[in-house]
Amino acid sequence: MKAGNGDDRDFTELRDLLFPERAQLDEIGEHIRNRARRAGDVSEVLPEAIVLRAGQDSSLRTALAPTLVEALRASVRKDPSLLADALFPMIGAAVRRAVAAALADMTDSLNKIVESSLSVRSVQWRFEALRTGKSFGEIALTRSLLYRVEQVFLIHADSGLLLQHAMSPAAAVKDPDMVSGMLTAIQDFVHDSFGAAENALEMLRVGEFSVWVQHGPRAILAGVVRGTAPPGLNTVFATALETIQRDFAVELAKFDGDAAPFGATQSILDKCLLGQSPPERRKSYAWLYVLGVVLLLLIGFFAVRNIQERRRWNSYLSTVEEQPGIKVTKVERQGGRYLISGLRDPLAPDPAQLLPAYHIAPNRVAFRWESYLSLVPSFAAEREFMRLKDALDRQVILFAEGQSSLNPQSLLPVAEQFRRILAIPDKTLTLELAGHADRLGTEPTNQRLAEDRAKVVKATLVDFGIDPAKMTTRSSVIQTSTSMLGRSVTFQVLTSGQ
Amino acid sequence: MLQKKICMLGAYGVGKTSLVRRFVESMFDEKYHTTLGVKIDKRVMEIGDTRFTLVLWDLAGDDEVEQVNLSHLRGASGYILVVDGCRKSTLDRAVLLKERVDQALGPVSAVLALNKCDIQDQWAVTPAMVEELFAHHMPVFVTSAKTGHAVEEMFQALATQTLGETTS
Repeated sequence: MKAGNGDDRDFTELRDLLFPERAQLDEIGEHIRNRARRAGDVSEVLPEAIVLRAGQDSSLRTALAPTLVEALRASVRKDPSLLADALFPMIGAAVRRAVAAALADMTDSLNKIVESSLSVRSVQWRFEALRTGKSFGEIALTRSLLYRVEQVFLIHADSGLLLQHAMSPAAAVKDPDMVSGMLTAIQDFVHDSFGAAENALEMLRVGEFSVWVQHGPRAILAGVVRGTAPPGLNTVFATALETIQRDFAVELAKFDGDAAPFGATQSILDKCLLGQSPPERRKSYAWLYVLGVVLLLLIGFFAVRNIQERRRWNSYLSTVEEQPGIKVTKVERQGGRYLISGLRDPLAPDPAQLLPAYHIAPNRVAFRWESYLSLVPSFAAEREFMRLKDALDRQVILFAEGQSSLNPQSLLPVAEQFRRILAIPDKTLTLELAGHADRLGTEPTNQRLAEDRAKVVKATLVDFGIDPAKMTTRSSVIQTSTSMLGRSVTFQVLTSGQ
Repeated sequence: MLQKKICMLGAYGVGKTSLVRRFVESMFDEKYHTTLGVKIDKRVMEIGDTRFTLVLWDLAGDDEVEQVNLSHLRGASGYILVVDGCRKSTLDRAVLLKERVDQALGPVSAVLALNKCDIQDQWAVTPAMVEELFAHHMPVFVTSAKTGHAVEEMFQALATQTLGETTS
């Protein structure tokens, strides 16, 4: 056995000398038998091999497909949340795109509906649409929805603990930690009480406030909105939550009560604090503007009217003062009424008669005149005329019964007065001589008697030097009279036009 | 700031809400306060150098164990089991609750409050009975929401436990 052993060794040595590659062959054999090393070899060339084969034909795809499908199915069955987590950011974007398309359709149809209505507002919106290049429906939607996002909560989905909080300056904020917990509790309540699917609570509404809730696998974003917000706001919240879920995936998974790593989400949440202030403020300015213009117009109108009135009044007053025989001593104003005091010659024109010519209401002016005699020459002449006319009109020349002769001397005063009245300038006048007879005797006799008496008087006056053209005669039989006055000639001064 | 969610658990009328009120506002409400569903309070605490917020979920006490709303427990860092010393049934209930919660939450911080020690003469439950059942699982405190006895200490102890979990 010992010699055999020595032979073996020699044989081996000889073999090694003759076939030096033997060690390498052993090495290769070992490599082929070892699964791990083979796997290593395949892994080195696998990517290149796949690329190569995929370029040649589709057999690789066909071979792999059933396996991949089966693998996915198994994975989903085992833990659906895994795939849901992975797909969450993608699904959000896809759904939003679909919803945006649907909304665009809706906006279009809204366009058609609203286009038929014509109000002042719609005209304003139409103008705005023209100006901004947006569609009319879009303007109508945004102008009629007024809202403000007052607070945004980022909440850890499981514990309900607050991760981050943003609020608008005007918001009334209660302790956000507790609000955050309560929101989660309410969500649990809805879920437990009504058997709603997980994450079902999307909107809470109390009065003018609404809470919009967006759910992610590990975090919840809740926005507190005052007023009526456009549906597009949900997209803003959804996008914010997706960004946070993506950028803070590790922090969310590891969360154990320490909210410090989520400080960096503040800027994302702040962007959700959107709002649209009502255009009413502008509207109220417009009203103020209109009111101001109306006031100015009113003031202007009254000022102009006042000036015109004053001008009319002044010219009226100066006209009154220019009147001969009128002296205005005082003009007073008493509660919108004028009181004119002064002296007025009875021969002067009545100032009240002048008011209509100046468009002044008679009830706005009162007069207090004291009578006086003016020394204006025209007034002196007028007064002389009145006196002489009065005297002449009273003269009576009497005749005996059945007679038409007279003593010419009795006519001297008449002749004198008539000469003087004719001397007054600016007067055109005639003297009417009326011959009268009483009813005694026959009518033709009486008529002739009356005419004769007038003619005798006229002839006598002509003898005294009076122009016959300035005299006219008439006659009348006074049927009722038997007295002396019935047998007479009377005088009347007639001014022209009388 | 660090936050910890703590749930108050216990049978109907054991004094959960009163304990929370004592803790968050140091003011006892003499009126018997019935919780419906859940009420949330918070208190900022300081242990050592760490300032943090305890968010207290005061769950409604139902006498049906099955009624415990497990969804309210999600994400809790700890819980307080409350037992009314005057009613033995509340102790049995606490045992059942502990089982349910441990199933739902796994191992979390916990303390037990044996409440209403201001009327200890009416007690039907002895501290020894409670110790026997719970001492191996959680610290037991004999408390009174009415006088405030040991309330602060109990919350402190629970807070310290939850912090220990975070730092370890």
